[in-house]
Amino acid sequence: MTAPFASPGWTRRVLHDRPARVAAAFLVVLGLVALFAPVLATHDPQSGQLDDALQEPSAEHWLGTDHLGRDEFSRLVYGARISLLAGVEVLGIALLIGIPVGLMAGYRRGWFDRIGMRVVEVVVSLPALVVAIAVVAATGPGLGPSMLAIGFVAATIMARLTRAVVLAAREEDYVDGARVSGARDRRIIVRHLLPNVASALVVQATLLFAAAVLAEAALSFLGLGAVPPQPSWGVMLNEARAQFEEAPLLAVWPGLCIFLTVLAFNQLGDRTADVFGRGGVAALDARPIDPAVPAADPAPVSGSPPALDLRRVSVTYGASEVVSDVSVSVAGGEIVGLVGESGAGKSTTALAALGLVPAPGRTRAGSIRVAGVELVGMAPGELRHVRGRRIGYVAQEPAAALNPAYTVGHQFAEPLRWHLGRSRRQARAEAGEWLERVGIAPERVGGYPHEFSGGELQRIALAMALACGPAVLVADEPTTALDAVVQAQVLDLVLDLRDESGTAILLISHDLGVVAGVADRVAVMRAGRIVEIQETVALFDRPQDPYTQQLLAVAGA
Amino acid sequence: MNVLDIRDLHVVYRTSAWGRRREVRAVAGVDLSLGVAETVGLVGASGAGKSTLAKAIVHLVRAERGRITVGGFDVTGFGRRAPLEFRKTAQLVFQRTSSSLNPAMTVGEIVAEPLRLHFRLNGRDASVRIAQLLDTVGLPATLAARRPHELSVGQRQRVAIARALATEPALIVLDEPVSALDARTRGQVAAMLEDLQRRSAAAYLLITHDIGLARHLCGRIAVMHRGRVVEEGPAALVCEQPRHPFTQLLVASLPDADPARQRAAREQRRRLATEVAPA
Repeated sequence: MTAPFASPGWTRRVLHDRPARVAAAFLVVLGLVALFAPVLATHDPQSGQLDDALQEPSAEHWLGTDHLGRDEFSRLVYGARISLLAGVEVLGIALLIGIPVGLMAGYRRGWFDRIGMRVVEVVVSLPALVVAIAVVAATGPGLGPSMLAIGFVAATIMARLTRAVVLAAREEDYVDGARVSGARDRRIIVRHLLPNVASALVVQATLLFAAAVLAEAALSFLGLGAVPPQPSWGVMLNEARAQFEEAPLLAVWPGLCIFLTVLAFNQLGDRTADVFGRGGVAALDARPIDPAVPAADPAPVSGSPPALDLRRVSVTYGASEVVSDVSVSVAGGEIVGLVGESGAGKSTTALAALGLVPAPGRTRAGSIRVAGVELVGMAPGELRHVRGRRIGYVAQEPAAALNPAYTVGHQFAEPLRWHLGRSRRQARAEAGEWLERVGIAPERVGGYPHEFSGGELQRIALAMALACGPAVLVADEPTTALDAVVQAQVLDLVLDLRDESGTAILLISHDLGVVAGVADRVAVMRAGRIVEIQETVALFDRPQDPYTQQLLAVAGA
Repeated sequence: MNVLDIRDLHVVYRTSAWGRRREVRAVAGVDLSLGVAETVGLVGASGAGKSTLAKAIVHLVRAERGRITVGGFDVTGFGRRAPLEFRKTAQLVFQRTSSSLNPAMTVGEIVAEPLRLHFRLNGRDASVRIAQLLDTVGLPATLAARRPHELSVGQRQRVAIARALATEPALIVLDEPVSALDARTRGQVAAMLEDLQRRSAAAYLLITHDIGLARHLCGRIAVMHRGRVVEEGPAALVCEQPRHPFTQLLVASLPDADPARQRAAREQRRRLATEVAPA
């Protein structure tokens, strides 16, 4: 999966989400109300007849009148103006100061970053409202100065976020690529960095807007922001306090406005963030097996029942089927290679075997059995006990399997304690033994992932996957990210471990050379289907399917 | 005159965390030259310093000591910013296509960037040239409107190569250009590179851990191990009679689509691995 906020067209994806759409619609309406307040308001929001004070809602005054006889509805309409203006002011300051400062600090680093970020840290550690109150104490109450203060604090938050996302984006090769093409700093920042960090900033800006609306209401309520007779929602709430006994509704209207506006902004921000980082696992659905259709995969070499048995597994994403009716089984101690080009559906098949196909994908399967246990129809909680314990998994990127914040020993111990109920000390001792078995000094058990090379990490990942003694190991391109020498070492290790433990291994690779060296049988996959499955030697000597023949011709060249 | 001359190059990475300073000498005294339109393979394991050397050549990292000259430019003498003329002369193709192309730009915009910066080509003139460049790397011109994530890995790597060709450079450094690709796509891109190198006047430095690929594409091979070039010579000679134990290990680690030969190679690897400390 690529960087969550890198892909374009995100506005469309956000608006595809229903709660986000509702929130956005509400905010658009609110904006229009604020813009056309003079047209929509039925009365002057700032003056009224004392004779009309505290009237019930009527045809003349839709929401009644306040203690000075002013029209409540008109005041709410103008209140939207003040709220949104406050938000715009805060956000404007935050964006105009925060983004350039964050971009400079993240891109250029050096003294600007060091000094700028210390200032930011100091400001961020102060509560924004307290800063605003202090400023107002010096300047006297008013919306302008208090929002200026809030805006300044918001700018530091924005600067910090911008710096963080720029630091991450700067590591991408396209920034170096642009430099090699001859692009200068300014062009790199404007054309290459900004578009790719924009969506993260949009989320933060939305949430800041909500915070600004809330801060305006709070300050005005305290008499430090907008001052009477200005129709701010905060001011209205404060004034309604005195009349709460006679006219409780006067407090409800501005309260509701503040509540809905802040909710809408927060909702929009949260849903946007969700859309960028959407995750989750799709359910495993059963489908009836048609007894008339024979299984595509003949019985495995040995007579024993298979440790891993996939029957008629399909995975769909929307209308496209990426895995079509795949059946394959692996016996204990057997290595079955699953080969094909990228996009053939190999990895998705592996994830289906683990019940881990990411949403919105859909898995339908006749049967997925691991060590005799049927996974189809199993509750997610039960599946968690199977994964790691009965079936292990190694991915292409060893670094992805390990959390950089914890020591290798700690991460090793976790599954041992969770699945096997080992004590902390026992688990740590076992971790050391495993490291030794995969050729790494057991003293390094306290090391962090970055202290190991790629090949060492992959050997650790392999050991971790096997530590709970699973019956099945699914290895998805375990050596693709490694160089030729380390690849050979890791494959040799896979063979040794298989010989010791008798684990069934499903080895996924696009490299026929890798598979030829270690697999007992090979399944060739193309466009979601298994086109041929045979014993390795037979497949290389007498490939039946024309596609297999092509693959072999390419590999032999 | 050589296109590339590297003399006694050292590159050191320094990090400091919580006051603890560390030094990693990624390149430790490399000498290497490339003649005009020559193709040389730089082979080694990961961590050998190959990518660092590549970045030093195009001035993405600074050298600690030594000298790099590319087409008359003294690269090690540059300040923070390299002159635009140099950017025209030397190009780099990155390994990871998922990262080397800006996901927010279209293929056309990506290839157009060097055209705009170096030749001030815009609008129609640019699109004609973009179509030419895409055609050179075997892609249809209609792809210009697509974004990187809509392309296959192989197509993306072709786009990256087209971008490098756009400046008409004298030197193209290819950092593992095909190792992220599957076997078939790898073969196709390798064939395209072979064709390209025959037709163009550029010199190529092919960085790879696959000594088989280097032998196929390069006249000369240099083997890098732990920051140094440990063996250099004609490609066929280096592959068939490797002198340095590490080169022997590289050759023995070549994936082979023959199960029987693979099992024999396993034994040899075990023997060699004890001779060569892993990188």
